[in-house]
Order: sequence, then structure tokens, then C-alpha cells
Amino acid sequence: MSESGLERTTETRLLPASNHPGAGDGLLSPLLSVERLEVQFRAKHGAVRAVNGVTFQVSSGEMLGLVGESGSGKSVTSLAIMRLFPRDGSVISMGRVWFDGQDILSIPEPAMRRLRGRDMAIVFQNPMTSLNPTMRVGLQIAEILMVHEGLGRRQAFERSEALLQMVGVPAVHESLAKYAHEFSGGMQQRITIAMALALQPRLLIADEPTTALDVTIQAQVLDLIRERAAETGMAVVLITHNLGVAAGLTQRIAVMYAGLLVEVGETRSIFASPRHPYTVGLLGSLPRADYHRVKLTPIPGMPPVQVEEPKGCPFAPRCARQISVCSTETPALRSMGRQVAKPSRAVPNTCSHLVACHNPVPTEETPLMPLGSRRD
Amino acid sequence: MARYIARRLVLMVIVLAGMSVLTFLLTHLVPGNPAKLMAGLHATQAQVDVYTRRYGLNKPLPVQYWRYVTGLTHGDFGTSLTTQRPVAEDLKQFAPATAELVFAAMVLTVVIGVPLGALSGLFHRSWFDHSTRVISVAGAAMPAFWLGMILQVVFFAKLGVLPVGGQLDILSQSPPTITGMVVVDSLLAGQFTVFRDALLHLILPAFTLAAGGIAIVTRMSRGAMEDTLETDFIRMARAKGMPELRVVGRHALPNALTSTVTVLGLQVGALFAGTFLVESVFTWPGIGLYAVTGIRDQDYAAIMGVTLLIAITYCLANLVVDVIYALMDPRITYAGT
Repeated sequence: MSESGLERTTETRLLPASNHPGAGDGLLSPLLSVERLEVQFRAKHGAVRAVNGVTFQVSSGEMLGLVGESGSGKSVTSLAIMRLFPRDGSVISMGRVWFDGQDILSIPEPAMRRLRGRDMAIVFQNPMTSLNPTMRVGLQIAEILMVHEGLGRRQAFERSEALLQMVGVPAVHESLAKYAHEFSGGMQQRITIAMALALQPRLLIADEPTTALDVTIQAQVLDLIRERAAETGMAVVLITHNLGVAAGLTQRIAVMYAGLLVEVGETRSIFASPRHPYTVGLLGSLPRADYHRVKLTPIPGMPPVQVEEPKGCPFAPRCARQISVCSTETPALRSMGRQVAKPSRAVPNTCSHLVACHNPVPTEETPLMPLGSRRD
Repeated sequence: MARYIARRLVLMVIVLAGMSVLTFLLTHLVPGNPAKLMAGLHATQAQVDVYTRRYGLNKPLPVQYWRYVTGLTHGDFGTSLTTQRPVAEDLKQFAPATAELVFAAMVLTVVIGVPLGALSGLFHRSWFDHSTRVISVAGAAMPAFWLGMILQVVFFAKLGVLPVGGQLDILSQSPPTITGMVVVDSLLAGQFTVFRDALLHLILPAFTLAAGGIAIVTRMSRGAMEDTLETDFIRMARAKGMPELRVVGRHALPNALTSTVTVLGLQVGALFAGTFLVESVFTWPGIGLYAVTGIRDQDYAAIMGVTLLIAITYCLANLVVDVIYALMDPRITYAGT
């Protein structure tokens, strides 16, 4: 694949269809811009590289899916954006994370603390453990309003009640006085979403928000997030290992593997013509309702734990399309040229379909169920 | 909750009954003859027989036990062989001093152990954490009687800042007896010089008694704090932008303390056991000293009385702890059945 794939035309960015008025600002500068983010965990023998140089943007009103297996670095990326690592120096973040024009990896902690909860919020995977077991949920919501807005207790609780109402928790008044364990998992997650949305943040990171929930509840919670995002125009980074979850909600998908982005593109494009063998594999291991008697195809092997500087493509050992260059050179993200746009200011992946692969899957060879063998 | 407490009290009676049988057997099966000890070194067999009959020591053990238990139901703990007084009266006289000592030690355990542990957990692997670890492991390893004597040497003999033993200076007038606890009584009577004197006398024995517990509670609350700080809800509190003081004080600490409270309840037993040695070292006129004398003289009734009193206190303390535990952690509910 040569440079010719990278057609340079006018600076048209393919941005998500958003009718939110605030989304216009995002056209020029994205709300969140992660540039060459690297995260290393100090271990006894050297450092474990959890994130190895990840670059992506999210604009207001946009929902980006960050997809990958466990251990691919998705959650670590989200913690780095919120700067929620322990401050004892055991975790090192490098690169830049621009949020609304400031590099949040370098601002002082008090300023960062004011951003958290107010401008950027996060919903974690397990609502049961995310809620303080010995504090009534009312206070857990209200304290956000009291600390950030300086509201009095009474006002804060009134607003908390309205927030619970908004996320669909029944009997709101009584619920304020309850403890986390008195709610079902779905209700607990609604409560953490109410906490995240309390101050109408501009960025919501949803880190596997439905993984710990029943399938029937999953859809409700996802709908709630979509609904709130559409109404407020906040940007959402949806982290999931489930491409199916990402498909229904996101405008763009970024696929992570071993701390690297391996494919970025519009959701439709990723599903219609996945180019990276890993993405193809992920799609192949996805159960579908509309194809019967299709065998699910797992990807053989396990994702690697990166200790050394990555050499070659990290997916190569598990890849069926491996060629000789794969084990020596780490592929960079390149445009596949389907949706044409010029990469600007060294941040190439706001547009078009980008793949980091020496031997990408050709477009015509990627049916919807690429690795599954249809038998009828 | 009321039904739970009632059920626990019923269970407590069963525990105490079992314990009284065990103590009774142990004290009476120990070789030696208390009647002989009481009659004196040069007593004739006839004189010894008088004592043996007076205290029913010639009766079979089950009969002796039955007599003891029926007496207990009327509040009769038997008669002490050494003081020649009803044990109930002895306990009434000596228990307040021990209560004062144990209470003071408990307060020291909480106010020193919990903050030290919480701070070590918060600043884990810092110099502060390492030094509290060294000190608390040393504290746990040090025998109380030895620590007591070292403290006496340093603070009384060398520095001369604290008294060596007893509840009050010989020259101090005892305050009028209200609770029996000198520190409390002197305060109630408004005798502040006596109060100060009593407090100074309390420091060394209370600290000696508390040392082991402080060490354990420090280690426990350090671990609890460290674990709590790694939980999801602490990360959530930080993600909400809560100030660090609130994250630690309002979110982490109450959760870390729930497990510490259980340890404190168990500590009550250890403190009472500790009084035997500490009261001996500091000539503290409490039931520990009374029991040590009783054991030496094979004073069955005295030993039984002290053991029962401690057992009752221990059971009640742990009941209180379990109730506090339920109040601190809403996930704990006690079914009435």
C-alpha cells in the first residue's frame, strides 16, 4: 500500500451527524484529542506497556467506540484521560491529552480535580463496587453538587432527586435514603450514570457500562446513555469489548490491540469492510441474530503483555495473514482511502478509515461473517 | 435488632454456663489443698478439717458446683478464702479500678492505633509507614510486664516524671467513692489536684496494657485503609472530583473502620487478660491483682468470680461491637430469628 491511498483533498472532516448546536465548535477543534498516549506500569522487572502510543479525537456530540479484548489498553486509556492513576509514580503517562484546549496530563492536580466530575465524567463497569457501600446514594450524588457548585445540602438533594428521576430510578425520594446494595444492578448503574451526568459534563467515558448487567438491562442502560448524549450534546467514549454494543450507538470505532490502535473508522465502514485481520476476527467472534448455524470463530491465542518496546506487529503471532515484514516492523496507521480526507496536524484519524496493517484484508474479501463458515 | 440482641443475650447465658463448668473443673482439679493453705503451715489435721468442712471441700465436685451455681442465681459468688469476705463484695471493690484501667487502655488503643494505621495505609510504603510498622511489630512482640518495668525505670527512676505504681500518691486523699473509679470520682468531686494525680498514675499502666492492642489495631487499620483505597468506589469518588480530604475522610475511613471495630471487640478480652500482669507490675488495686493473689492461694471462689466477671464483660463488649458494626455498615442486618 503506497502513499497514493492518501488522497489530499480539501480539509473535509467526516464528522458524525449531529444536530446539536454545540457540535459546531467540535468541527474545528475536537473536544478531546489524545496524541501518542503511552502508559506504562512500573513492575519489578521493567515496565509493562499498557498503552503504546494511541492517537484519536472525539468531538462534542460524537460517540466513539473504543473496542478491544481485555488487556488491550482501553480502560487504561480512559483512566489516563481522567488521570485517575495512583500518584505514587507507579504509573507513567506520556504523550498529550488535550481536553478543551488544555493538556490535562500536565495541569496541576487541583485544576484536574475541578475538571473531573464537572467537565468529564466516567461510568465504570461494575456499579455495585463503584458505589460506596456505607454512604446513602443520595449523598453520593449530592456531594458532587455540593463540592463543585457549592450548593447547600437541601438544594443538592433536591437536584439529586431530579437526577434520579431523569435516569429512571423509581420512588426517587425514598431511593435517596437507600444504600447501594438495596438496588438491582441495573438501578445501580442508573445511579452511577446520574452521578456522572450531575453537572452535565462535556465528555462522558463509559467503561464497559453494561458488561456487569443482564442482557435485558444492557439495552436500557445503553439507551439511557444515548438519550442523554443526544440531549446534551456531550461527547461519549464508549469502551467495550463487544462490537455489537458499539455498533448500535457509535458513529466511529477505534479498535485497540496490545495498547495500539489497529483500526479506526466510521462504524458503518468498520462493519461493512473491516480491513485489519484483528477486527475481522473480532467480528467473527460476535454472535449474530440474523445468521443461523454460523459457527463463532474465536481468535486463537492470547493478547500479549508488552514489556519490551514493541517490535513488529503485536498481532502477528495470532494472525493468519502474517507476512515477513510483520515481525520486524510495527505498522503505522494508514488511510485506506475509502472515505477521502486529508489528515491534518499529525492527527490522522479523525476521518477516513485507518488501518495499521502490512497486509490488510482486501475490501472485496470481507463479507459480513468473514471467518465464520456458513454451512447452508 | 432488639430480637437479635435478646437472642445474643440468651446465647451468652449458655456460653457463661459452659465456661463456669470449665473454670470450676480446672480450678478444683489443680493439685493442692486450699484448706491446708488457709489453716497455715503448722496447723493440725483437725484445724484443716474445720476449713474443709466450712467451705464444703469434702463434698463431691458436682455437689460443690451445684451449690456454687445456685448461689450465683442470688448474686452469691461464694466467700473468698483469702479475704474471708463475700467475693461479690471484693469484686465490687476491685472492679472499678480495673474498669478504669481497661477503659483508659481502650481509649489509647483507639486514639493511637486507628490514626496511626489509617495514616500508614494512606501513605503506604513511605518512611512513616515503615517506622510505624517497626514500632508496632516491636510493640506486639514485647511482653507487657517487661514493657511495664522498662517504662517504670525510664519515667519514674530516670526521668522522675511519672509515679511508679498505685492509683494515687500516698499523700493524696482518696475522693469520695461514687463510681469507684478514682479519675472519675475526683473529677465529680471537683478535686482537680487529686484528678491530676490519678491521671498521672493511670498513664503508665494504661499504656503498658494498651501496647499490644495498639500494635494490632495499627496493623489492622493500616491494611483496611490500604485495601479500601484501592476499591472502585474510591476511584469513583476521585472521578467525581472530590477533594482528597473528602475521599479519604468521608469515603475511605468509614469503610476501613468497619473491620477495625471487630478487632477492637476482640481486644477487650486481651486487655482483661493483660490486667493480671499489668496490675501486678503497677500494684494497681483491681481484679487482676485480686485474681493473681487468688490463684496463688487457690482461692476457688475468687478465681471463679473474676473469670465470670471478665467473661460477662467480654460477651457484652462483643455484642456492643456487633451492634456498632451493623450501624456502620448498612449491608449488615441482623435477622431476629
